[in-house]
Amino acid sequence: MKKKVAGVVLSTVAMAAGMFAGCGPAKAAEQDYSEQVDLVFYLLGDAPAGLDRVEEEINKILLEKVNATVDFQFSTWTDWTEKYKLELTTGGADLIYTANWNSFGQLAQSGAFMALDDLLDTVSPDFKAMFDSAALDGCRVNGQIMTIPCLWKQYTPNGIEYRADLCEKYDLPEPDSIENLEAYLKGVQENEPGQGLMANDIVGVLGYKYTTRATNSGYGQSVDIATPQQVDDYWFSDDFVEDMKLAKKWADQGFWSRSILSDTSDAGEKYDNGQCVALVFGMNPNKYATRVETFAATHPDWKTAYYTYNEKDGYVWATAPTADATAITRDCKNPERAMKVLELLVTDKELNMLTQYGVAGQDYEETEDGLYKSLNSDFGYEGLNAWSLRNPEYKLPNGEGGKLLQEMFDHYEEVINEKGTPSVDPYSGFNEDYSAYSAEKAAVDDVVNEYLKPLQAGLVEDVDEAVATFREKVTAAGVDVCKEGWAKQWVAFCEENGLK
Amino acid sequence: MQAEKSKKIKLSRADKTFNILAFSLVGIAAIICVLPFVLVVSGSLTDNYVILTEGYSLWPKQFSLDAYKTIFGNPASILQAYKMTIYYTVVGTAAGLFVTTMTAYVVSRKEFKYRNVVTFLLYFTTIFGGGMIPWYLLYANVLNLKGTTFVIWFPGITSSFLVILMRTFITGSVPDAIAESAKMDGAGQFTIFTKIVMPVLKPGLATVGLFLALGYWNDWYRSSLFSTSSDTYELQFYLYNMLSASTALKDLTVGTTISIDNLPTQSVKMAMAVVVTGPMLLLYPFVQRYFVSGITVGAVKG
Repeated sequence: MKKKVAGVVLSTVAMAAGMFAGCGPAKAAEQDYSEQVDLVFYLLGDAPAGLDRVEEEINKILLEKVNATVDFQFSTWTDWTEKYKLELTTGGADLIYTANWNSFGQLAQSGAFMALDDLLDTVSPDFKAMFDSAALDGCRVNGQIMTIPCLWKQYTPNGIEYRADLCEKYDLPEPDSIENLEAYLKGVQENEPGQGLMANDIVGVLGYKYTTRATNSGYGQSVDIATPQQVDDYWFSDDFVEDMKLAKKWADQGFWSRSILSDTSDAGEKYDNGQCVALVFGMNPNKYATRVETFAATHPDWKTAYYTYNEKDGYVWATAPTADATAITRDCKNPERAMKVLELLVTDKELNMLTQYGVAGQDYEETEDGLYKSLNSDFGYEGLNAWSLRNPEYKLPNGEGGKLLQEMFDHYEEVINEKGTPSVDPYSGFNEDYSAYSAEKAAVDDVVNEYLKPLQAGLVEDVDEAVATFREKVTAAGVDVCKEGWAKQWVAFCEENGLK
Repeated sequence: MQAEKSKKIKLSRADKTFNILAFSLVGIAAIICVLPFVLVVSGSLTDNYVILTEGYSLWPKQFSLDAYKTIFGNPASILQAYKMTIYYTVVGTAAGLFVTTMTAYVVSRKEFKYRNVVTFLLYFTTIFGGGMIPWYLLYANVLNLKGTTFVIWFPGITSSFLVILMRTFITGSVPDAIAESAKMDGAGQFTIFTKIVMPVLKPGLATVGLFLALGYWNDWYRSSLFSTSSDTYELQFYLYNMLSASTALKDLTVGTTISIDNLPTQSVKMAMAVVVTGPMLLLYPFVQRYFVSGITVGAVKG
């Protein structure tokens, strides 16, 4: 009982503090650093070989500043999703890397992380002030901030990577539309018979057509950005039939291999080796920028280029704030100190550089152009995989590719400012909870694999007939239940976030 | 000349057909087992670009040692993993053999009062287990062994299956009367165990030892859960993790901006498989003799 009362009083005080923080320049509450606190920071991936050395340097500074140490622990890349959940279940970590592509939404819903609103106001108000309110709002689950996003804004708009040197050589158009892509592929096919063209099916290509889509459900529903609460039924639309006919046409023209569905090799690797000349699926500026450098080293006569599908509409918003963030776990015993340490790791230049690049002069050096140069393979670029701690103020681009990437990001920011589109993806916070219809979902997924994939790869005899079969099967599998469940959650999400 | 002729036993037609059938079936089975391995070895010696463009072949189309150069280019970490795996295998197998044989001997003795209870408890764990999370919690949180080398080899030292196999073997090869007579001559249980039981257990020890050694050599899971530094990695985990890293990073880079280091190529993956299987291939012929008799003795008498 006593505890409960204390809790209520505490949270009221914190709420009051929060309110004041909203009114004027907030002041951090005085912290007591007399007792040393040892924290565990859990990160994804493999520990760098030079971890102990860098950790020691970091802890030297942390001990001096806030009387704390951090032990960086790593999931390794083997079974990392399972081990990440195990770590949360068994409660070993204090600070933990979170990401929407690693079930952040579900984990936060189930109470794996601590709500951070009060902590931000009482311990780190200056840190809080560094974020866009939109970014922090994007990290809210049930109204509370559950994780601290990365300060560095990243953009991962989909697009197509193609060979600019071939465009030049054979005088082909830049593939900035479906028609021009077709012309480009045909041109290469005519000039270089036997050359592989694409390593993906039609799905990626449709990125040109549906540039104003906010999202797709796994059940063939689509939503347009202009009317977010109106859910359309793509699989049962004429557009769908038209798109599948395009897939058939391209497959018949030999734009991709007949065995594309059973081919498990990596499309990017094929492009690297000149076995295909366009990558239309799962591409982003980062991959492109990395490849520019690879090509310069391996095929200096090849030139890769990137076209962003959504750029003409201005919807090139930054990646979701939850894509790259740090949370404090529910089991953390010293959340105040953990918060302070997190703040320092991001905002203190020396600490931040240590987490990202290691020891200056030993692991890396800054070139005259302000680029990163590795000196030691013991601790590579962003060696701790602490991606969520990246701070644009101290960030060193990784060589020429990194510089190019930053230029693209700056360009996207300009596009957004020019068109007045939102800077943060407002839909990224949506997480589907399909527990109520998981059986139907599994059945629908099966039908998709068996009947939709061949359609998308253009491997059917008669498109109309195959579409009819697919629609019939997917209805029988219970797609309507899924659609209803999804749409209900989606509309509720839009309502909650004021998306109309 | 004559003697040689008489040695030849004439085969009946049925026997001949049987032999032809048996040899061709076993031959096909052997080819099915060997071919993939030949492909792996050949792939590890082929230039990566050729693999990607022309696929695998039984003989390297373009010979290249690049894959092995990559793996052994930074030999410190792979040698460390090799060293650790040998350590785990030797220590684990030795401790395992000791524990397994002792347990099996005890539950094989009729004069042991709680024999049935203990045997039941052993059987019980083959059907019901606590599950992975309690198991992990015990080692990581209760015993605080995460990051030690002990926790890598200790959980694998024995299993109910091996104890039961060994017990069947002991009851089969050491009649009660022998132990009884030794006892009358004044031998204690430990003397009976070391002087009478152990010497006839060679095939059993080889069998259980090989099971244990194989288990240790092929294990990667305990490193995956408990290792906190690459210094304690098992070899299998070290190599498996290299592959996992390349898959994970390829998936992840779609929606995020994270840097990718050099990922292993196809030929490197093949070379890894060769590096890992090599030592076990060498070990097999030496223990195989015992292995076969151990399994059959254990099975028939059981």
